[in-house]
Amino acid sequence: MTPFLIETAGLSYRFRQDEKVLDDVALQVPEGAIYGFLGPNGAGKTTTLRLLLGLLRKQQGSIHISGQDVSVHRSALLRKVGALIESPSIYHHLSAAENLEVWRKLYRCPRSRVAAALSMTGLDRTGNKKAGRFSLGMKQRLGIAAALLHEPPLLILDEPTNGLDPAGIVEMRALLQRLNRELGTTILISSHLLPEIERLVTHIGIINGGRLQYQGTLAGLTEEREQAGGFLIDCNGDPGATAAVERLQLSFSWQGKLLAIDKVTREQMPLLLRELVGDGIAIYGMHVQKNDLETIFMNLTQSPLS
Amino acid sequence: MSNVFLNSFRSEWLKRKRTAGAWLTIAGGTMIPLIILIQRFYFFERLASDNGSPRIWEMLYSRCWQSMAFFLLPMGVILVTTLVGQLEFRNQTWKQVHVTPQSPTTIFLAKLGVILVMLLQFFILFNIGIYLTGVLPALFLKQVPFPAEAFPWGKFLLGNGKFLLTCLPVLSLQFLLSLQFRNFMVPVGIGLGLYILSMTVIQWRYAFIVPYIYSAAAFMKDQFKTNIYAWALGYSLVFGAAAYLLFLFKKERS
Repeated sequence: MTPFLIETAGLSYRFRQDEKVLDDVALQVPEGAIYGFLGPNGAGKTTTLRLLLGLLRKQQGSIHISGQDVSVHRSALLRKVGALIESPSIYHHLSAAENLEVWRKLYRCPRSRVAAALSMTGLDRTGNKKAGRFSLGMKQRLGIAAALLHEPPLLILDEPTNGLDPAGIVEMRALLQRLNRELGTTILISSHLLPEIERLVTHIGIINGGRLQYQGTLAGLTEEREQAGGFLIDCNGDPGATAAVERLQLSFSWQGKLLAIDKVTREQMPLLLRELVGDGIAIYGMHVQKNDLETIFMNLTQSPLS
Repeated sequence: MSNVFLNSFRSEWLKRKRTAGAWLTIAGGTMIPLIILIQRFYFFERLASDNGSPRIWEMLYSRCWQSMAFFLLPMGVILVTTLVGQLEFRNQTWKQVHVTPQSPTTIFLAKLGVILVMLLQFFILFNIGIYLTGVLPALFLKQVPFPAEAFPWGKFLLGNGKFLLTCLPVLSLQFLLSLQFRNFMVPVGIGLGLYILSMTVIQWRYAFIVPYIYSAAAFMKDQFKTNIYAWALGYSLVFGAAAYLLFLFKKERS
């Protein structure tokens, strides 16, 4: 029995013959995890989520949820999934409670769940107000209420904090953490708000250009980066600096006028500095590279794809 | 399966609450009888003799259905089917509908079921309206007798069944279009275009091949040397099957 609630293998997808949107994605979301799915715009996050939910017809690879093939047991598996994909799905001519009633009939959950989901998302005082007159944040909350309505063991949320104000984002984080802690809900969440993801998730997957660049625990990623080390050397963009770095066979990139060196060991540092000074490169400063998620994300998604 | 369908139908039925389609069904079903009733009161002097006629119900039925069949029924079916069929596109809810635990077949049948029940609701309201155009003058005015003829249930049912059949090709093609096109104007435009075409060619001997013509053609059956009801049924089945297959094999469900 696999320990992963969601597991894909060799998942590839093309909208056009010459454009591979996903390439051999092997997503592994452990049961009970809050899995942050990150990537720049157009990286393939939403396409992956849509494939997981069967909104796109699978072309290549396999998708399993709870160890069962989604293409075989789709309807039964969807009963266990709450989803919010892109913009919230709302019937603008109905009230919040009526909107949830539409979904409640399909999930066949008790009537009391409507009030509970509305209260959980702070929409319990909206009364008969039509959802079309809600603010963007309220619509987003209603979308999340619909996803939570049937108390699913798995939540798939695509950018759920879109349109929420800072207080709403904090509340949303607390709600998701509570669901995860108290009910053991597994959450797969994609977001652009990196600091938010960093505070929320236990596991992380970073996708770029349709390929999964990293997957594992957030702690593991940070640790890996710290061990690898990294320095920024301010040499005012002097192109001569690259020769010294290449002689030591270190990998590097330019961040503006700063030379960013990856994976430099303690022993290599004095050698590097000697080479640079020996080549007549002026050094104005040195900084240890930050290891926050934003920096890691930028490094992983801005480096050229292999 | 039947339970899943019933829940799906209930969910779809709730969605039509307060929509333009729901109001159109009520307005469309009551408008012609209301106009005929006002007309009857306007020609006040004829009321007593008309109600005393042994063919009062046939007269009212014919007057109401003539206006309905030529214009309001096809237009109403075009608009209501498109409005209900396009509800998910308009609210951007297709993706959420497709991640609920129901098969595309159930979704398709539940939506079609709601439109058919709305059409039935429209017919029932219309017939109640016809009944009231005959009865109300007698209730309000002492000198007007209640209709002399007993209400011909059998004839009305048969006539209504035939009219229902004549508008099914319109319903099934509009349903197909409203499930395929995101832009509301496409199904409405095609529907209105076909309706105008059918009215333009109505005198042509082969006009029965136009699928939007049968409601009007029901009043001029003798002109066509064919069974228009069989044509209507054939078109309905073909359009219905095409709508189902296109919906089932849609590449992207959103």
